This record gives sequence, C-alpha cells and structure tokens, in this order.
Amino acid sequence: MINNFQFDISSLLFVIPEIFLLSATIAILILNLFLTKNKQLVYYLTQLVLLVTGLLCFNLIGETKAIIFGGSFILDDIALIFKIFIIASTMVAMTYSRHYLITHSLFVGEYFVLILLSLLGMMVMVSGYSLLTMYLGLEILSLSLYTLIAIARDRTIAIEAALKYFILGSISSGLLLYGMSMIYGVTGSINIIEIAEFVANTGIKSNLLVINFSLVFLVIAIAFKLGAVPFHMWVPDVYQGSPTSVTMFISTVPKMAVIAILIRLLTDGLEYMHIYWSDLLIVLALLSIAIGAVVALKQTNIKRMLAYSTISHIGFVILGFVTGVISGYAASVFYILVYILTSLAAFGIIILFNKKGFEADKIIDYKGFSKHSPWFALMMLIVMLSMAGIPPFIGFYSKFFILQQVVAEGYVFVAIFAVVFAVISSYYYLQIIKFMYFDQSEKTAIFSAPMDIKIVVSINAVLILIVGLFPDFWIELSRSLF
Amino acid sequence: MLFIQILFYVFGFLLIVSSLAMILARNSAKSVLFLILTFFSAASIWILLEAEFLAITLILVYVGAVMVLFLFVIKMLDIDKSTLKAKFTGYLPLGVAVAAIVIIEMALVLGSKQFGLHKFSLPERHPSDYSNITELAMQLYTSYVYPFELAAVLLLIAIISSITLVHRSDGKRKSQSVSAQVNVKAKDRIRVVKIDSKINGVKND
Repeated sequence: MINNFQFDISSLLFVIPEIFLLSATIAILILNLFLTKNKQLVYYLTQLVLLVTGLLCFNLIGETKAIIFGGSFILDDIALIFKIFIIASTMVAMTYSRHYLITHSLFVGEYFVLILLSLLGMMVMVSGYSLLTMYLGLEILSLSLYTLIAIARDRTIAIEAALKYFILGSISSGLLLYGMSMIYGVTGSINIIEIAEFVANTGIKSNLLVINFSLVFLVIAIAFKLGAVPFHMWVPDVYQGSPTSVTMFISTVPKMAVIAILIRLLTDGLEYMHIYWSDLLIVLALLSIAIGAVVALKQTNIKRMLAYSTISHIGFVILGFVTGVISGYAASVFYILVYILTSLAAFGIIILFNKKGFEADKIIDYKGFSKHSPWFALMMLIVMLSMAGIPPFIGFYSKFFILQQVVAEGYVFVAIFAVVFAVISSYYYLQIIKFMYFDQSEKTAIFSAPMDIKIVVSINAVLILIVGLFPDFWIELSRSLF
Repeated sequence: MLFIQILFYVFGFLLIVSSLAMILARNSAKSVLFLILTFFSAASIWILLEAEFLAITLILVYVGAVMVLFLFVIKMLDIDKSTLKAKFTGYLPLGVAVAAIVIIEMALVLGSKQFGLHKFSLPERHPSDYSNITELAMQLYTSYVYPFELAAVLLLIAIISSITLVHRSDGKRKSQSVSAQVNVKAKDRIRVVKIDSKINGVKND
C-alpha cells in the first residue's frame, strides 16, 4: 500500500475526462428514455461527449507524470496519447456507423451508451497501473462488447458470435485473474511499481518459477484479447457474425487499449523477466503472421478476410515487443496506430457499400466496383495497398520500422520469416484490387449513404497516403512516449 | 493450532468433493445444491482466515439470493439432457488428459516449496477487538475508491446489457389490454357454426 488510508481530493483533477464521460453517459442513458421520436439527438450528443472528453484529455497534456489513487491510476504521455487516439477513432467509427445502424434498424440509444461505456473501460485500461484496475477496465470493455454484438438479436449469426465471444472471453478473463493472483501471491502487491521493485530487487531468483508460471497466464490472456494465434479462434466468427459497425469497432479501438495493458504489465511491471516473456511473444508473433497470411487466402467473406488480416497485423505488433528495446516498443505503437487508421478506412468503405437488406460482405460483391464508383474504388485501392505494405503508403513504414528493430536486435531469421508471409498476404489484398478494377459486374450499386460518411472516409483514406509521404510526425510521437 | 488445521482440511476436502460433485451430478438441481455446499465450505475457510465479513457476504448474497434464483431458473428451463451429454464421452479422454497435465504442472509449481512458511512468515492474528468491516470500509472508500467506483460501473453495464437484450419495444411486446378484456362481448368470443352432418361425404353409420 503506497498511502494507507489516504484520499487526496486534488487527485480527482487527473480523472476529469473519465468522470465527465461517465456522468455524460448516464445523462444520455436517462435522456434516451424520454426521446421517443428524435433518436438522432442521441447520436449527436454522443459525438459531442466524445469531443469534450477528447478536449479534456488534450487539456491534461503537459502535466507531469502522476500516479494517484494508491497507485492504481497513472497519467503519463502513453495514457494521454492513447486516450486521445482511442477517442478520435471512436468518433470516426461512430460517424461511419450511423447510417448502417439506421438502415439495419439497430439505431437504439443503448448502442451509443454501450459504446461510451466501453470507451470508459478502455480509458481505465490505458491508465490502469494496478492489476485490479486493469482487470476492471478489461471487464467493462468486454461486457459492453458482448452486448454490442448481440444487439442485433434477430440474427442468429450475431447471437452465436456474441455467445462464442462471451464464453471464450470469460475463460481468458479467468486465466488473467489466475495469473494476477499468482503475481500477488509472490510479490504481495497489485501495484505495478511495487511488483517491478520486487522483481528487480529480491524476487527474481527465489521466486522465478512462480513468476514464470503467472507470466504464461498473463501472456495467454493478453494474446486472447488481441486475437493472436493460437488464441485466435474467436476472431473470424465474431468479425463475421457481428453487425459491420460493431466489427469495425471491435477490430480497431480495443486493440490499442490491450496494447497499453501489455506495455504496463510486461515492459513496466515485469521488465526484468524480458528474456522469459520475449520467448512467449516470439511464438505468438510468428504463428499469427503465418496463420493470418495463409488462412486468409481461402476466405470469400471480406469480414473474415479482414479478421485474418488483423491476426497477421497483430503478429507484427507483438514482434515489436519481442525486441525488448524502447525503439522496438515505439515501432509497435506506431504500427498499431497505423493499423487502426487503415482498418477504419477499410470498414468505412465496406459500410458505405451497405444498403438496406444487403450486407456487402462477400469479396465478389466488389467486382466492377471501379466502374460505378471510381472515387471510392481508389480509396479502397489505397487502403489495400497500405495493408499489403507497399510504399509510399503508411503501411509500408509501419512494417519497415518493426522489421528494422527486429533485425537490429539480431533476430534476422524472424525478420525473413515475417517478410515472406507479408508477401504471401499481399495476394488477398491485391485480389480485391483485381476484382474492383479488372472484373465486370452486371450489378450496379447506388450509395444511399449520406455525405458526412463519404467525406470522412475520403479524408481517412487520403490520410493513409499523406501520412505515408510524411511519416515523421507520427514516428516522433510514438518515440516520445517511451 | 491443530484444531484449526483439522477444520481446514475438513472444509478443504468438502470444497473439492462438492465442486466435483457439482460438475458430475446428472440432475442440474442437485448441481446447484452441491454448489451451495461448495460456497459454504469456502466461506468456512474464509472464516478460518479471519475474513468474517467476506464469508458472511458469500453466504448471504450467493447462497441466500443468487442460488435461489438459480434454482428457479433451472426449474423453469426445459433442459434436454441428451443433447448436453451427447458429445461428452467423445471429448472425455482428451479433456481428462489435458486436465491431468494441468494438475501435474500446477502441483509441481505451486507446492509448499514456493509458498511455504520458509518464504512467507505466518500472518499475525488480529486482537479480539479488531473489526473486519471497519477496516474494509476504510480501505474501500480511501485507497480503493477508484476500483470501487469501477465495479459499480460494471454492475451498471450488466443492468443495461440485460435490459437491452431482453426488452421488446411496445409493438412487439405481448401484454394485457385491460380495457379490451373488460369490453369484450360474448359474440366476440363464441362463434356458432351450424354444420350439416350429411355434407363432406361423412356418413354416420
């Protein structure tokens, strides 16, 4: 216990974004009851709340690093930058979702409330500095996500996805708790600082066995939440079964919060155990890259294909942590930022293509896409080339920095392995481009989506190109975090 | 000291046996009863650890409220045993093998070698005027106020989720219309139809 029986009221200043978010969410929840006609108001209020929360976080930039609430909350650069990115990507995801929700009659107030609550969970995770708050944040996030998937309760495939996610998610939470309880049993503390001190000073020799044992459980739980092979079984089914707007949300924002937990737990708390956890991570990374690349080749559903593509990207992110050096972690953070930017654009275009009673989730639906909407075909082209890692798009740089760090740390064969499978994976990205530009289709799609989505998707996709041409700012940003 | 140790082993044995029985019982109502026994044994062990408040809460909340609800739910659901057991024997060898490996590994790692008295000194017994609840409250509302609030948010999400998933909007909900029931006339309910018994080719032989 850092400060026994102490509660400093001024520490609330550092949690203002979270307090505002929670209060506003409850206000929206109550307001939603009285809004019978004009549900659009809930959407605009949600966006407003997100904006204000983001600004409140922005306002805290420049504060010195603070650890409050008896060590269970941390406010540092990683927390703030991650929070701002999480909020910004949630705003973009909400913009894309609105039209989809209306056309698929899922536009209910609870959807937005649950999104806001899951955001709260992610902010808690990102700022969590004790095992207890990390776990609570993760559960707040997961519970909201389970419900968001099942919110399309008339679709059996969505219910199936929600149940699968729920059961497997509960098991992984159990593993996480078990690992945490072992760490607590050995170190006698749940605070990351005290755990790190214990491991650094006294613990590592006499308690190596138990710490290693708990490490396995912690890594498995994190790998499950990230969807890394061999804990990826839920990913394709959940991505396919969920409503596309929820798939977009699940596949992007939560990954970042889990990465934050990985940074706190492994690189802060168990830094001295690096030689042990890097071995675990290297297996996860290589399997993810390989399975993600090979299995995606056979998919006919674009959501399943993107699920395997996510698995492969997560492999690269984990690879950055294998290196165990600060520049490697920075490369991983950069990769996850780029992944979220690209993935949001991909799902944005898929959602744009959606119509009432028509889910554009088959890859062959994109045949002849360039004929009837050349602009968005171009946007999709940018997204796919970036995902495949072809310069000058940003996806090239993110892969490049990871591989650079991996080679610098002497893992040459690992880098070669990753590159070979990255080349294999480019097949299915290029296949979509081939369908869009070189195949004919008798169907003509008419976009019913409103203008705001079209504009944001375009900005999002063009950003992939622009950031790819001038990547310095983002690289410096992710380096400055460590 | 010896008496407490005997108690510990008795309750520990009961805990393991009843949790096994809970999983293996054929009747789901019996499983719930075994689960209650498991909770009781766990609560008793907590009392031996001087965590009276937790033990009492476990019995009051879980045994008193949650398990009763469980029994209700199980009695109301029509659970088909054959589908539940259908794949059980097929997966049994694999499951037993995996469980055995995990148990052996855990026994190797988590023995008294790692958590024995030579590593951790015996915690001091609290004096008789020590209040568990006061201590817990002081901790919860000062050092642990943040996790405490988060747990409250978790419960809020559980409420929102369950209502969202079960609630039907007005059009779809099946509900009584009292005024319609009161205003109903006999002719709305009974329709007198005269049927000629000779028609339709049926003969009353």
